[in-house]
Amino acid sequence: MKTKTYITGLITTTLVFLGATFKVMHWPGAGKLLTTGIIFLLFIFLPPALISGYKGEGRKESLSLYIVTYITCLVTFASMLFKIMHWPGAGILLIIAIPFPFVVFLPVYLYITGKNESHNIYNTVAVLFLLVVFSSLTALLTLNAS
Amino acid sequence: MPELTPREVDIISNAVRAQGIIYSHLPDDLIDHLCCDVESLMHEGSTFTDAFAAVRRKMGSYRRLREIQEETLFAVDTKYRKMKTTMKISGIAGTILFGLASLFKIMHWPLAGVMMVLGAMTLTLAFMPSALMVLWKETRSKKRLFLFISTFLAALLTIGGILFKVQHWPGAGVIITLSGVVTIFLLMPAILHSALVSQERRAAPVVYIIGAIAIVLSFTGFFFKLMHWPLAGMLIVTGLLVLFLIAFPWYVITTMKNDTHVRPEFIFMVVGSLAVLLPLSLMNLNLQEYDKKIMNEMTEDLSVQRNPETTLQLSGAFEAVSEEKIDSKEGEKEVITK
Repeated sequence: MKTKTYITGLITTTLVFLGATFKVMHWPGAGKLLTTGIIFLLFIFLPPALISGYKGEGRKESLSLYIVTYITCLVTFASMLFKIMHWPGAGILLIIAIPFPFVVFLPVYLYITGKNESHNIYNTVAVLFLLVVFSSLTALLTLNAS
Repeated sequence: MPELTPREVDIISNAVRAQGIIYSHLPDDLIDHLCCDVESLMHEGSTFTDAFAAVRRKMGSYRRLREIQEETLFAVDTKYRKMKTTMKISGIAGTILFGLASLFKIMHWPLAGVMMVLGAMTLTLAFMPSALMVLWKETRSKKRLFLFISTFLAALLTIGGILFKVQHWPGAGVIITLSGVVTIFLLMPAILHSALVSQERRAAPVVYIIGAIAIVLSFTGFFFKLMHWPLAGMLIVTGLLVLFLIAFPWYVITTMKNDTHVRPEFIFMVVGSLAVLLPLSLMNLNLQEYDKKIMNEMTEDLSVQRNPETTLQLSGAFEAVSEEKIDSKEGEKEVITK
Protein backbone atom coordinates (compact mmCIF):
# COMPACT_ATOMS: atom_id res chain seq x y z
CA MET A 1 0.00 0.00 0.00
CA LYS A 2 2.67 2.49 1.11
CA THR A 3 5.25 1.31 -1.43
CA LYS A 4 2.62 1.48 -4.17
CA THR A 5 1.85 5.06 -3.21
CA TYR A 6 5.51 6.05 -3.45
CA ILE A 7 5.76 4.37 -6.83
CA THR A 8 2.65 6.11 -8.18
CA GLY A 9 4.00 9.41 -6.83
CA LEU A 10 7.27 8.96 -8.69
CA ILE A 11 5.44 7.86 -11.86
CA THR A 12 3.28 10.99 -11.62
CA THR A 13 6.21 13.41 -11.42
CA THR A 14 8.00 11.61 -14.26
CA LEU A 15 4.90 11.64 -16.49
CA VAL A 16 4.17 15.30 -15.91
CA PHE A 17 7.82 16.30 -16.35
CA LEU A 18 8.02 14.38 -19.65
CA GLY A 19 4.64 15.77 -20.73
CA ALA A 20 5.73 19.34 -20.04
CA THR A 21 9.02 18.85 -21.90
CA PHE A 22 7.27 17.23 -24.88
CA LYS A 23 4.67 19.98 -24.95
CA VAL A 24 7.23 22.77 -24.96
CA MET A 25 9.28 20.98 -27.64
CA HIS A 26 6.10 20.29 -29.69
CA TRP A 27 6.87 16.59 -29.83
CA PRO A 28 3.89 14.26 -30.39
CA GLY A 29 2.23 12.54 -27.43
CA ALA A 30 2.61 15.48 -25.03
CA GLY A 31 -1.13 15.82 -24.42
CA LYS A 32 -1.54 12.13 -23.62
CA LEU A 33 1.41 12.19 -21.21
CA LEU A 34 0.14 15.26 -19.38
CA THR A 35 -3.44 14.01 -19.15
CA THR A 36 -2.33 10.62 -17.87
CA GLY A 37 0.04 12.27 -15.41
CA ILE A 38 -2.61 14.54 -13.92
CA ILE A 39 -5.26 11.81 -13.81
CA PHE A 40 -2.67 9.64 -12.05
CA LEU A 41 -2.04 12.42 -9.55
CA LEU A 42 -5.66 13.25 -8.82
CA PHE A 43 -7.26 9.81 -8.81
CA ILE A 44 -4.53 7.25 -8.16
CA PHE A 45 -1.78 8.94 -6.15
CA LEU A 46 -3.44 11.60 -3.99
CA PRO A 47 -6.39 9.74 -2.41
CA PRO A 48 -4.37 6.85 -0.90
CA ALA A 49 -1.45 9.16 -0.08
CA LEU A 50 -3.65 11.60 1.82
CA ILE A 51 -5.54 8.81 3.59
CA SER A 52 -2.26 7.23 4.65
CA GLY A 53 -0.86 10.60 5.77
CA TYR A 54 -4.01 11.23 7.78
CA LYS A 55 -3.77 7.85 9.49
CA GLY A 56 -0.08 8.44 10.18
CA GLU A 57 -0.81 11.77 11.84
CA GLY A 58 -3.55 10.19 13.92
CA ARG A 59 -5.46 13.36 14.76
CA LYS A 60 -9.18 13.37 14.03
CA GLU A 61 -9.36 17.17 13.82
CA SER A 62 -7.11 17.23 10.76
CA LEU A 63 -9.61 15.36 8.57
CA SER A 64 -11.07 18.57 7.13
CA LEU A 65 -7.55 19.81 6.27
CA TYR A 66 -6.84 16.67 4.24
CA ILE A 67 -10.18 16.94 2.44
CA VAL A 68 -9.55 20.61 1.62
CA THR A 69 -6.03 19.79 0.41
CA TYR A 70 -7.50 17.23 -2.00
CA ILE A 71 -10.16 19.63 -3.31
CA THR A 72 -7.53 22.37 -3.78
CA CYS A 73 -5.28 20.04 -5.79
CA LEU A 74 -8.27 18.81 -7.81
CA VAL A 75 -9.41 22.32 -8.76
CA THR A 76 -5.92 23.74 -9.42
CA PHE A 77 -4.47 20.91 -11.47
CA ALA A 78 -7.70 20.23 -13.39
CA SER A 79 -7.89 23.88 -14.43
CA MET A 80 -4.27 23.86 -15.57
CA LEU A 81 -4.83 20.66 -17.56
CA PHE A 82 -7.91 22.18 -19.22
CA LYS A 83 -5.94 25.31 -20.06
CA ILE A 84 -2.98 23.44 -21.51
CA MET A 85 -5.18 21.08 -23.52
CA HIS A 86 -7.44 23.94 -24.74
CA TRP A 87 -10.54 22.12 -23.53
CA PRO A 88 -13.68 24.25 -23.17
CA GLY A 89 -14.41 25.74 -19.74
CA ALA A 90 -10.75 26.42 -18.91
CA GLY A 91 -11.35 30.14 -18.40
CA ILE A 92 -14.08 29.69 -15.77
CA LEU A 93 -12.11 26.95 -14.04
CA LEU A 94 -9.04 29.20 -13.82
CA ILE A 95 -11.03 32.04 -12.24
CA ILE A 96 -12.10 29.61 -9.52
CA ALA A 97 -8.73 27.88 -9.26
CA ILE A 98 -6.35 30.85 -8.94
CA PRO A 99 -7.77 32.33 -5.72
CA PHE A 100 -8.84 28.93 -4.36
CA PRO A 101 -5.60 28.08 -2.48
CA PHE A 102 -5.59 31.50 -0.81
CA VAL A 103 -9.28 31.88 -0.04
CA VAL A 104 -10.11 28.32 0.99
CA PHE A 105 -6.96 26.27 1.61
CA LEU A 106 -4.82 28.77 3.56
CA PRO A 107 -7.45 29.74 6.19
CA VAL A 108 -8.33 26.07 6.83
CA TYR A 109 -4.63 25.17 7.01
CA LEU A 110 -3.86 27.95 9.48
CA TYR A 111 -6.95 27.18 11.58
CA ILE A 112 -6.24 23.46 11.85
CA THR A 113 -2.48 23.71 12.39
CA GLY A 114 -2.97 26.60 14.83
CA LYS A 115 -4.89 24.26 17.10
CA ASN A 116 -2.18 21.62 16.90
CA GLU A 117 0.44 22.65 19.44
CA SER A 118 3.16 20.30 18.25
CA HIS A 119 2.97 21.66 14.70
CA ASN A 120 6.29 22.90 13.37
CA ILE A 121 6.32 26.52 12.21
CA TYR A 122 8.74 25.65 9.39
CA ASN A 123 6.09 23.50 7.71
CA THR A 124 3.87 26.57 7.61
CA VAL A 125 6.76 28.57 6.14
CA ALA A 126 7.28 25.88 3.46
CA VAL A 127 3.58 25.93 2.52
CA LEU A 128 3.59 29.75 2.37
CA PHE A 129 6.72 29.65 0.22
CA LEU A 130 5.11 27.26 -2.27
CA LEU A 131 2.04 29.52 -2.46
CA VAL A 132 4.28 32.56 -3.15
CA VAL A 133 6.09 30.71 -5.95
CA PHE A 134 2.78 29.57 -7.41
CA SER A 135 1.23 33.03 -7.29
CA SER A 136 4.29 34.70 -8.81
CA LEU A 137 4.18 32.18 -11.65
CA THR A 138 0.53 33.01 -12.26
CA ALA A 139 1.37 36.71 -12.09
CA LEU A 140 3.98 36.21 -14.79
CA LEU A 141 1.36 34.52 -16.99
CA THR A 142 -0.37 37.90 -17.33
CA LEU A 143 2.67 39.38 -19.05
CA ASN A 144 2.03 37.43 -22.23
CA ALA A 145 -1.73 37.91 -22.21
CA SER A 146 -1.40 41.69 -22.22
CA MET B 1 22.92 3.09 42.29
CA PRO B 2 25.52 2.99 39.46
CA GLU B 3 27.21 6.25 38.50
CA LEU B 4 28.26 7.35 35.05
CA THR B 5 31.95 7.61 34.30
CA PRO B 6 33.22 11.02 33.06
CA ARG B 7 33.59 9.54 29.57
CA GLU B 8 29.95 8.49 29.47
CA VAL B 9 28.88 11.93 30.65
CA ASP B 10 30.98 13.38 27.84
CA ILE B 11 29.18 11.21 25.28
CA ILE B 12 25.83 12.53 26.47
CA SER B 13 26.94 16.15 26.64
CA ASN B 14 28.45 15.96 23.15
CA ALA B 15 25.16 14.60 21.82
CA VAL B 16 23.28 17.51 23.37
CA ARG B 17 25.73 20.19 22.25
CA ALA B 18 25.84 18.79 18.71
CA GLN B 19 22.17 19.72 18.45
CA GLY B 20 23.08 23.38 18.80
CA ILE B 21 21.59 23.83 22.24
CA ILE B 22 23.25 27.06 23.33
CA TYR B 23 20.74 29.07 25.29
CA SER B 24 22.14 30.02 28.73
CA HIS B 25 22.19 27.06 31.18
CA LEU B 26 19.69 25.00 29.15
CA PRO B 27 22.37 22.57 27.87
CA ASP B 28 23.50 21.78 31.43
CA ASP B 29 19.93 21.19 32.54
CA LEU B 30 19.27 18.88 29.62
CA ILE B 31 22.52 16.95 30.09
CA ASP B 32 21.77 16.52 33.80
CA HIS B 33 18.29 15.29 33.02
CA LEU B 34 19.50 12.79 30.44
CA CYS B 35 22.26 11.51 32.77
CA CYS B 36 19.71 10.91 35.55
CA ASP B 37 17.46 8.99 33.18
CA VAL B 38 20.36 6.86 31.96
CA GLU B 39 21.52 6.17 35.52
CA SER B 40 18.10 5.08 36.67
CA LEU B 41 17.86 2.68 33.73
CA MET B 42 21.33 1.33 34.50
CA HIS B 43 20.16 0.80 38.05
CA GLU B 44 17.60 -1.60 36.66
CA GLY B 45 20.43 -3.59 35.15
CA SER B 46 21.08 -2.45 31.59
CA THR B 47 24.43 -1.37 30.21
CA PHE B 48 25.26 2.27 29.40
CA THR B 49 24.82 1.82 25.66
CA ASP B 50 21.40 0.15 26.00
CA ALA B 51 20.24 2.67 28.59
CA PHE B 52 21.30 5.66 26.47
CA ALA B 53 19.60 4.16 23.41
CA ALA B 54 16.42 3.59 25.43
CA VAL B 55 16.45 7.19 26.69
CA ARG B 56 16.90 8.47 23.16
CA ARG B 57 13.98 6.33 21.98
CA LYS B 58 11.82 7.70 24.78
CA MET B 59 12.74 11.23 23.78
CA GLY B 60 11.54 10.54 20.22
CA SER B 61 14.37 12.07 18.21
CA TYR B 62 17.12 14.59 18.82
CA ARG B 63 14.89 17.19 17.24
CA ARG B 64 12.95 17.19 20.50
CA LEU B 65 15.94 18.86 22.19
CA ARG B 66 15.79 21.74 19.77
CA GLU B 67 12.05 22.01 20.28
CA ILE B 68 12.68 22.34 24.01
CA GLN B 69 15.12 25.15 23.28
CA GLU B 70 12.57 26.87 21.03
CA GLU B 71 9.93 26.59 23.71
CA THR B 72 12.30 27.94 26.38
CA LEU B 73 13.29 30.88 24.21
CA PHE B 74 9.65 31.57 23.47
CA ALA B 75 8.77 31.58 27.15
CA VAL B 76 11.79 33.56 28.38
CA ASP B 77 12.85 35.94 25.63
CA THR B 78 10.39 38.75 24.76
CA LYS B 79 12.33 39.88 21.71
CA TYR B 80 12.32 36.33 20.30
CA ARG B 81 8.59 36.08 20.96
CA LYS B 82 7.95 39.33 19.11
CA MET B 83 10.15 38.25 16.21
CA LYS B 84 8.35 34.95 15.89
CA THR B 85 4.94 36.64 15.91
CA THR B 86 6.13 39.16 13.31
CA MET B 87 7.43 36.31 11.16
CA LYS B 88 4.10 34.47 11.30
CA ILE B 89 1.89 37.47 10.63
CA SER B 90 4.03 39.06 7.90
CA GLY B 91 4.54 35.71 6.19
CA ILE B 92 0.83 35.02 5.99
CA ALA B 93 -0.15 38.60 5.09
CA GLY B 94 2.55 38.87 2.42
CA THR B 95 1.59 35.57 0.82
CA ILE B 96 -2.12 36.41 0.70
CA LEU B 97 -1.42 39.88 -0.72
CA PHE B 98 0.92 38.50 -3.38
CA GLY B 99 -1.56 35.75 -4.32
CA LEU B 100 -4.56 38.04 -4.59
CA ALA B 101 -2.46 40.55 -6.53
CA SER B 102 -1.74 37.99 -9.24
CA LEU B 103 -5.48 37.21 -9.51
CA PHE B 104 -6.28 40.95 -9.79
CA LYS B 105 -3.55 41.32 -12.37
CA ILE B 106 -4.94 38.49 -14.53
CA MET B 107 -8.48 39.85 -14.29
CA HIS B 108 -7.23 43.41 -14.99
CA TRP B 109 -8.95 44.68 -11.86
CA PRO B 110 -7.66 47.91 -10.33
CA LEU B 111 -5.13 48.04 -7.45
CA ALA B 112 -3.28 44.92 -8.60
CA GLY B 113 0.00 46.85 -8.77
CA VAL B 114 -0.41 48.39 -5.31
CA MET B 115 -1.21 45.01 -3.78
CA MET B 116 1.75 43.38 -5.46
CA VAL B 117 4.17 46.08 -4.25
CA LEU B 118 2.75 45.85 -0.71
CA GLY B 119 2.92 42.06 -0.72
CA ALA B 120 6.50 41.99 -1.99
CA MET B 121 7.53 44.62 0.58
CA THR B 122 5.92 42.71 3.43
CA LEU B 123 7.73 39.56 2.36
CA THR B 124 11.15 41.12 1.84
CA LEU B 125 11.22 43.78 4.56
CA ALA B 126 9.24 42.16 7.38
CA PHE B 127 9.06 38.41 6.85
CA MET B 128 12.60 37.65 5.69
CA PRO B 129 14.48 39.68 8.36
CA SER B 130 12.34 38.35 11.20
CA ALA B 131 12.70 34.77 9.96
CA LEU B 132 16.46 35.35 9.76
CA MET B 133 16.55 36.68 13.34
CA VAL B 134 14.53 33.74 14.67
CA LEU B 135 16.84 31.23 12.98
CA TRP B 136 19.93 33.05 14.22
CA LYS B 137 18.64 33.14 17.80
CA GLU B 138 18.05 29.41 17.67
CA THR B 139 21.39 28.31 16.28
CA ARG B 140 24.03 31.04 16.57
CA SER B 141 26.51 29.06 14.52
CA LYS B 142 28.83 30.80 12.06
CA LYS B 143 28.39 28.11 9.42
CA ARG B 144 24.64 28.43 9.47
CA LEU B 145 24.86 32.21 9.26
CA PHE B 146 26.27 31.96 5.73
CA LEU B 147 23.32 29.77 4.72
CA PHE B 148 20.79 32.16 6.23
CA ILE B 149 22.32 35.24 4.63
CA SER B 150 22.53 33.67 1.17
CA THR B 151 18.92 32.46 1.46
CA PHE B 152 17.89 35.96 2.47
CA LEU B 153 19.76 37.56 -0.44
CA ALA B 154 18.44 35.09 -3.01
CA ALA B 155 14.82 35.48 -1.85
CA LEU B 156 15.10 39.27 -1.72
CA LEU B 157 16.50 39.48 -5.25
CA THR B 158 14.04 36.96 -6.70
CA ILE B 159 10.94 38.61 -5.23
CA GLY B 160 12.30 42.03 -6.24
CA GLY B 161 13.01 40.81 -9.76
CA ILE B 162 9.50 39.39 -10.21
CA LEU B 163 7.98 42.61 -8.88
CA PHE B 164 10.03 44.79 -11.23
CA LYS B 165 9.28 42.52 -14.19
CA VAL B 166 5.52 42.34 -13.61
CA GLN B 167 5.30 46.08 -12.95
CA HIS B 168 7.42 46.77 -16.05
CA TRP B 169 9.93 48.81 -14.04
CA PRO B 170 13.41 49.22 -15.50
CA GLY B 171 16.26 47.10 -14.16
CA ALA B 172 14.29 43.85 -13.84
CA GLY B 173 16.83 41.97 -15.97
CA VAL B 174 19.78 43.06 -13.82
CA ILE B 175 18.05 42.05 -10.57
CA ILE B 176 17.07 38.67 -11.98
CA THR B 177 20.61 38.04 -13.22
CA LEU B 178 21.95 38.90 -9.76
CA SER B 179 19.47 36.55 -8.10
CA GLY B 180 20.57 33.78 -10.46
CA VAL B 181 24.24 34.38 -9.62
CA VAL B 182 23.56 34.45 -5.86
CA THR B 183 21.52 31.26 -6.08
CA ILE B 184 24.11 29.33 -8.08
CA PHE B 185 27.27 30.47 -6.31
CA LEU B 186 26.13 31.15 -2.73
CA LEU B 187 22.84 29.48 -1.92
CA MET B 188 23.29 26.07 -3.55
CA PRO B 189 26.77 25.38 -2.06
CA ALA B 190 25.50 26.55 1.35
CA ILE B 191 22.44 24.28 1.20
CA LEU B 192 24.52 21.34 0.02
CA HIS B 193 27.05 21.86 2.80
CA SER B 194 24.43 22.09 5.52
CA ALA B 195 22.64 19.01 4.17
CA LEU B 196 25.88 17.04 4.16
CA VAL B 197 26.97 17.94 7.70
CA SER B 198 23.47 17.65 9.17
CA GLN B 199 23.07 14.91 11.76
CA GLU B 200 19.62 14.02 10.56
CA ARG B 201 20.89 13.17 7.10
CA ARG B 202 19.13 10.02 6.00
CA ALA B 203 20.25 9.42 2.44
CA ALA B 204 23.74 8.78 1.08
CA PRO B 205 25.83 11.93 0.42
CA VAL B 206 26.00 11.07 -3.28
CA VAL B 207 22.22 11.61 -3.62
CA TYR B 208 22.52 15.16 -2.30
CA ILE B 209 25.49 15.87 -4.53
CA ILE B 210 23.67 14.60 -7.64
CA GLY B 211 20.59 16.62 -6.73
CA ALA B 212 22.64 19.78 -6.19
CA ILE B 213 24.49 19.31 -9.48
CA ALA B 214 21.18 18.81 -11.30
CA ILE B 215 19.70 21.98 -9.83
CA VAL B 216 22.84 24.00 -10.56
CA LEU B 217 22.82 22.65 -14.14
CA SER B 218 19.26 23.76 -14.79
CA PHE B 219 19.90 27.15 -13.15
CA THR B 220 23.00 27.64 -15.27
CA GLY B 221 20.86 26.68 -18.28
CA PHE B 222 18.32 29.41 -17.47
CA PHE B 223 21.14 31.90 -17.00
CA PHE B 224 22.70 30.91 -20.34
CA LYS B 225 19.31 31.35 -21.97
CA LEU B 226 19.09 34.84 -20.54
CA MET B 227 22.58 35.66 -21.83
CA HIS B 228 21.87 34.13 -25.27
CA TRP B 229 24.78 31.76 -24.90
CA PRO B 230 24.56 28.41 -26.68
CA LEU B 231 23.65 25.07 -25.04
CA ALA B 232 21.03 26.66 -22.75
CA GLY B 233 18.22 24.27 -23.73
CA MET B 234 20.44 21.22 -23.37
CA LEU B 235 21.60 22.28 -19.90
CA ILE B 236 18.03 22.84 -18.69
CA VAL B 237 16.74 19.54 -20.04
CA THR B 238 19.72 17.59 -18.69
CA GLY B 239 19.42 19.22 -15.27
CA LEU B 240 15.70 18.58 -14.93
CA LEU B 241 16.05 15.07 -16.34
CA VAL B 242 18.67 14.13 -13.74
CA LEU B 243 16.64 15.79 -10.99
CA PHE B 244 13.33 14.08 -11.74
CA LEU B 245 14.53 10.73 -13.04
CA ILE B 246 17.56 10.03 -10.83
CA ALA B 247 17.93 12.22 -7.74
CA PHE B 248 14.28 12.41 -6.63
CA PRO B 249 13.45 8.66 -6.97
CA TRP B 250 16.76 7.72 -5.35
CA TYR B 251 16.14 10.06 -2.44
CA VAL B 252 12.62 8.73 -1.94
CA ILE B 253 13.73 5.09 -2.06
CA THR B 254 16.59 5.51 0.40
CA THR B 255 14.89 7.78 2.92
CA MET B 256 11.33 6.59 3.03
CA LYS B 257 11.36 2.83 2.87
CA ASN B 258 11.19 2.42 6.64
CA ASP B 259 8.07 4.51 7.22
CA THR B 260 4.78 2.95 8.17
CA HIS B 261 2.73 5.70 6.55
CA VAL B 262 3.17 8.03 3.61
CA ARG B 263 4.95 11.12 4.84
CA PRO B 264 3.23 14.49 4.29
CA GLU B 265 6.59 15.78 3.03
CA PHE B 266 6.42 13.37 0.10
CA ILE B 267 2.94 14.58 -0.88
CA PHE B 268 4.21 18.16 -0.54
CA MET B 269 7.20 17.47 -2.78
CA VAL B 270 5.13 15.79 -5.51
CA VAL B 271 2.41 18.46 -5.51
CA GLY B 272 5.03 21.21 -5.24
CA SER B 273 7.08 20.07 -8.21
CA LEU B 274 3.94 19.81 -10.34
CA ALA B 275 2.82 23.26 -9.18
CA VAL B 276 6.07 24.64 -10.58
CA LEU B 277 6.30 22.51 -13.75
CA LEU B 278 2.77 23.08 -15.07
CA PRO B 279 2.63 26.91 -14.93
CA LEU B 280 6.13 26.91 -16.41
CA SER B 281 5.01 24.97 -19.48
CA LEU B 282 1.83 27.05 -19.71
CA MET B 283 3.98 30.17 -19.75
CA ASN B 284 6.22 28.74 -22.42
CA LEU B 285 3.20 27.86 -24.58
CA ASN B 286 1.72 31.33 -24.09
CA LEU B 287 4.99 32.82 -25.25
CA GLN B 288 5.06 30.64 -28.33
CA GLU B 289 1.50 31.65 -29.24
CA TYR B 290 2.34 35.31 -28.66
CA ASP B 291 5.35 34.85 -30.88
CA LYS B 292 3.19 33.37 -33.65
CA LYS B 293 0.59 36.13 -33.35
CA ILE B 294 3.20 38.87 -33.67
CA MET B 295 4.76 37.17 -36.66
CA ASN B 296 1.39 36.90 -38.43
CA GLU B 297 0.59 40.55 -37.78
CA MET B 298 3.93 41.62 -39.13
CA THR B 299 3.69 39.58 -42.29
CA GLU B 300 0.17 40.96 -42.89
CA ASP B 301 1.38 44.51 -42.41
CA LEU B 302 4.25 43.99 -44.74
CA SER B 303 2.32 42.22 -47.48
CA VAL B 304 0.32 45.42 -47.96
CA GLN B 305 3.42 46.87 -49.52
CA ARG B 306 3.62 45.73 -53.10
CA ASN B 307 7.35 45.68 -53.55
CA PRO B 308 8.30 42.04 -52.97
CA GLU B 309 11.97 42.71 -52.48
CA THR B 310 11.51 45.25 -49.66
CA THR B 311 8.89 43.03 -48.05
CA LEU B 312 11.26 40.15 -47.99
CA GLN B 313 14.08 42.21 -46.51
CA LEU B 314 11.85 43.88 -43.96
CA SER B 315 10.17 40.70 -42.81
CA GLY B 316 13.58 39.13 -42.42
CA ALA B 317 14.73 42.01 -40.25
CA PHE B 318 11.53 41.99 -38.18
CA GLU B 319 11.77 38.29 -37.70
CA ALA B 320 15.29 38.60 -36.32
CA VAL B 321 14.35 41.47 -33.99
CA SER B 322 11.14 39.94 -32.65
CA GLU B 323 12.75 36.57 -32.17
CA GLU B 324 15.52 38.08 -30.14
CA LYS B 325 13.09 40.12 -28.05
CA ILE B 326 10.92 37.15 -27.23
CA ASP B 327 13.88 34.97 -26.54
CA SER B 328 15.20 37.37 -23.93
CA LYS B 329 11.76 37.66 -22.33
CA GLU B 330 11.46 33.92 -22.12
CA GLY B 331 14.92 33.48 -20.66
CA GLU B 332 14.25 36.03 -17.94
CA LYS B 333 10.99 34.42 -17.03
CA GLU B 334 12.45 31.01 -16.65
CA VAL B 335 15.13 32.37 -14.37
CA ILE B 336 12.48 34.00 -12.22
CA THR B 337 10.49 30.86 -11.84
CA LYS B 338 13.45 29.08 -10.41
